[in-house]
Amino acid sequence: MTREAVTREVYITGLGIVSPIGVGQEDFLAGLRAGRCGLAGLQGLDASQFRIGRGGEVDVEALSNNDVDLTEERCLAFALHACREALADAGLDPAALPEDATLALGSGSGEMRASEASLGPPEAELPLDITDPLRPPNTITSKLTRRLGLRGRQISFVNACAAGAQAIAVAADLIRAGRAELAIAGGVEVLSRMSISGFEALRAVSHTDCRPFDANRDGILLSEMAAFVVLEGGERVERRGVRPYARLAGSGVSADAVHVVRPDGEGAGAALALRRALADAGLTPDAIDYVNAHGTGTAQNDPAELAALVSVFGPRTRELPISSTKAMLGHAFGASGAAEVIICALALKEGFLPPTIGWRQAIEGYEGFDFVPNEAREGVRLRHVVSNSFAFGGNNVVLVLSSPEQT
Amino acid sequence: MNANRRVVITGRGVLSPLGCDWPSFAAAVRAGDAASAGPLPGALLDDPILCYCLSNPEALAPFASGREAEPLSTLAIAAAKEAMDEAGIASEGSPLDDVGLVMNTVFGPSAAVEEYLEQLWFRGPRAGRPSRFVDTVLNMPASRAGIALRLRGSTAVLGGSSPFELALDWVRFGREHTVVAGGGEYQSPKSMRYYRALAAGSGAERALLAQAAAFIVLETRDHAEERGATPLAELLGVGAASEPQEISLPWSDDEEGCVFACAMRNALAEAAVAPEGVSSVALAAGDDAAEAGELAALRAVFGARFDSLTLLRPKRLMGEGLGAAAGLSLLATLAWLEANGETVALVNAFESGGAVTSLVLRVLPS
Repeated sequence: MTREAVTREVYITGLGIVSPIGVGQEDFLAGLRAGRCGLAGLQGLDASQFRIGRGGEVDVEALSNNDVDLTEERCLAFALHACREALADAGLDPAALPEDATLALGSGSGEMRASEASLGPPEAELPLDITDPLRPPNTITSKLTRRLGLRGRQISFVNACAAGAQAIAVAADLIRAGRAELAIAGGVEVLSRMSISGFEALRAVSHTDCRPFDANRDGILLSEMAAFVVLEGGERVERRGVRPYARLAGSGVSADAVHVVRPDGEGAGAALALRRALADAGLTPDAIDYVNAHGTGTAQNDPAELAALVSVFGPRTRELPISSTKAMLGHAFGASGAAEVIICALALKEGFLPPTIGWRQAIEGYEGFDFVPNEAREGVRLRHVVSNSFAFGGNNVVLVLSSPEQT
Repeated sequence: MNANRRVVITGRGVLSPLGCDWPSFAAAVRAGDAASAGPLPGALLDDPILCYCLSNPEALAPFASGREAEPLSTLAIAAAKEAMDEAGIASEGSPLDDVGLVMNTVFGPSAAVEEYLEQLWFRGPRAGRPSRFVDTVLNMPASRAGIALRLRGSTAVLGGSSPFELALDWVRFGREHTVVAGGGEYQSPKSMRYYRALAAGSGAERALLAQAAAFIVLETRDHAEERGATPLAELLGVGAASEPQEISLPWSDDEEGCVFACAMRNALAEAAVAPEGVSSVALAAGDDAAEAGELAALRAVFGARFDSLTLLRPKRLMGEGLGAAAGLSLLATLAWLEANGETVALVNAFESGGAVTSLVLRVLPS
């Protein structure tokens, strides 16, 4: 179903990123172009307590906020750094933002790393003197809103791996609807013993490297990130005279409604979100020049995503560049979709395709497909690109980004 | 925004301390019955933690998918299904590609999270059980509801934000012709202990928590009429603002009510309803201490009309429903309006973290 009565265009004017391959846009972009892998044995958490103990950690020394306790509020510290970078990148003074400036945040588990100490002990031993022991994700949203001085809406999304992408999609809709002039949207996730334990128990974690779309892929590697973008309406962008990274051309959302863990093997729900995103952007499949895949590198997710892509893009899928940046960045759940929007925005602006590193042999049935293996591809002119986020539990969000020159 | 696309409510579903289906809930609201709070099952005997529990816990049994079914998922499925049944939307058969789901929950499956963390505490990360981990994922109750009810349309899981603005926009903008929207919360012993400690630390009397889920079906009026469904009420407009907080308490410290006033004015403007057109207001606050700012805002928005407004206080009847609170207030207001022959009301919601949402609601003649 296409949207009606939408008149305002929405642009990405600022980016902020905290990731295992770089803190800050410059380092992040260099890492993407170099095919840098941010995944290794865990240092910040005791790796020996886990079955595998590998993942992508942030170099916290590179963070700028000295006013946040990293032990208690690691998510907030990451998110605050990324939001401040995004605002500065957009050339915005935080003290002069519009009254309705909105914050939309996605996170799968919020400050779970700290909650493990406050909720783990048996009931009789609970440390009741902790200021805010529960720490649901909306706590991060409200603290961020307060520290950034925003007074518009604050919205929190918790739909796992799609949360950050959905925050961006909904924030864009609020601008299109005239409910806000400007929004900061994205996602944040930190590594916790609980998340690593859980995904290791599910046998979803790779024993080697994360190798999306490879015949020998054996799972995800978890990571931590914060990724936020500044979104502004077209009139405001014109008035300010800024050159945006990209236009957020459309979004599509759906559910698999099949299984709590397994994706729909035929990719029907994902394909529905893809079709909706293209329709919302007013584009046909042949207008898309690149797909930043969800590409987790698990046995079941990758073929399901490729089935969805083939059902939408048809025979052209073989020539369509499709890459997964999770082999470099790991899977940071609620932050991943937002980080991948940033990657798409940088790809559009800089004219390159980020690689699927660690790729050796095509996934069975998809031989000859272009997974942008191992090395970034430079000098590429991109018009429209797609970013997929398909969450645990079957929540799908697809975003279409366009070069600002494309109308 | 397409102002011509009218959005109506065609289904209601609720499990709460006041009633575990819409008819019993509505009857209790109309009678002004208050639920009784008691110790939360599982709480330590020497430290009874009070909570408004479901009036009929057995109502969950038909929806529990297994011996250890995660209770928030079961609550959400039961309430959403009741709403869909009333709306005449079949939850069996082919997937419903054009029916979306928006669910709000603050703490999510907190009992499962606490159980998993306690296991981590005692036995370490290698002892994790996959099925129990799946239960801890915050979007799992909504995902389970979507799977059980075959909802394949746009789905969003909110963590402490009103579900109705997003659902309304999705329907108005044509992303979906129908959205099942609401929220749920199922309190767990540790979260209750913490909540009480936080409340005590604030130095004020605060409302007790409630276990509940409340959902409605929203669709365009045209779509409802085409398929022969009965529009029960219309959502005319919504307004939102925020008063960001440093800790996650579902009440406002905005004593002058500036944020509430902003949200209410925005909602009235979007609904094109003058203050004179509103007869009732459902308050977001749950007790005297929390009400001050909201009442100040009402005086500012309604002026001399304030004294003639009927003020509804749903949380005083059944406690603070957190993720379910906005839905409980909306449904309680519907029950009140229907019983008293009134038509237009404002429904305020205050989410933990500081987000305020105000809805303008009109009951349609049957």
